[in-house]
Amino acid sequence: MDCIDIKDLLFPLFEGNLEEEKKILAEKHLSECKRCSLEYELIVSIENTLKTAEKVEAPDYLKDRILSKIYPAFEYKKEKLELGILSIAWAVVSMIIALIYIPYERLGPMMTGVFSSFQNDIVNFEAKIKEAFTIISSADFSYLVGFVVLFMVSSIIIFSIEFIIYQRS
Amino acid sequence: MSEKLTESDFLKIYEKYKDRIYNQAYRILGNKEDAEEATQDIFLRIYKFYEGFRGEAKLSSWIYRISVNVCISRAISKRKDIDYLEETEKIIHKNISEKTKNPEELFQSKEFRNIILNLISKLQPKYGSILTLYYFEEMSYREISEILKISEGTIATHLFRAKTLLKDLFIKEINLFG
Repeated sequence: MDCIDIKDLLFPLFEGNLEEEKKILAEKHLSECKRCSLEYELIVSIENTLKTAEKVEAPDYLKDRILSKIYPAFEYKKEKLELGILSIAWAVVSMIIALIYIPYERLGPMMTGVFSSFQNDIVNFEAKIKEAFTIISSADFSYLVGFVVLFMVSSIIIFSIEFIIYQRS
Repeated sequence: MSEKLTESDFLKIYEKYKDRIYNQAYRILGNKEDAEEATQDIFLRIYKFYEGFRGEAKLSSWIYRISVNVCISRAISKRKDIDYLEETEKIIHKNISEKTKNPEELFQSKEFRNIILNLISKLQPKYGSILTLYYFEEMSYREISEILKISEGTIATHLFRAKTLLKDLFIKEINLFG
């Protein structure tokens, strides 16, 4: 077997698809011929490269590009969804502000009164503590509960409307 | 006859096949820009022609057939661009640099892997398609035969031819034997 004979047998040899007789002749030639041996090594490396090649992933922006061409309303829907998220964020922020600011506005003067009386009469400390608890526990929090419930309901309604618009558009 | 693809069904198909299609396009066409355009074209065709999909073949075979056809036709048009071929050769020659002096070391290197994977885009696109389906998608001859509508024997012949060409192209490109 010479270099020309073996040329087309290298891949079958690697894949184990050669008859025993040809396999022996091919292996004998490879042990004697540096050039063909190098070519066989090249084949092994090509096979390994193809079998273990990393897959290239599609870039994320391609999805928006394709979807906006197929569904022209896609961009609009994205905006609506973003708007929905914004309205939820607004509701949450407003609720936090309301929870912090309104109690302070209503309870602040009460607490100031409690602290100033502490400063004036530090001796009756225990009595003043009890007095402070009485003031706080008698405060009317019903306005706050009403406010929170109203805000949550309105936020849910706003989000539901946005979601329905998103689904239908 | 199928109905028009809804957005949610299209998204399911997109998520399942986007990387496979992009990877195939990238390997056959050889660069990011062409792969992106081809991927977009393929998904637009999937959407457009889905109504005509009769379910006689598997959905995956139908999708891959569209993918292969788009990649092959884009690759053929690209081959007419001589500047592109010259540019590819420049990149290959720049990559191999001094490593040809020690081929055994070169065969184990990252540069070698990059060159081989880049050379797929220099093969005839029908060979590139078979290589990507067989090696990257790990399909059997039968599955490839269903997609390309050619016999399993022809697939085997094309695959052998593709790998031999890849080897010969590499030897020629880096002037391995002087």
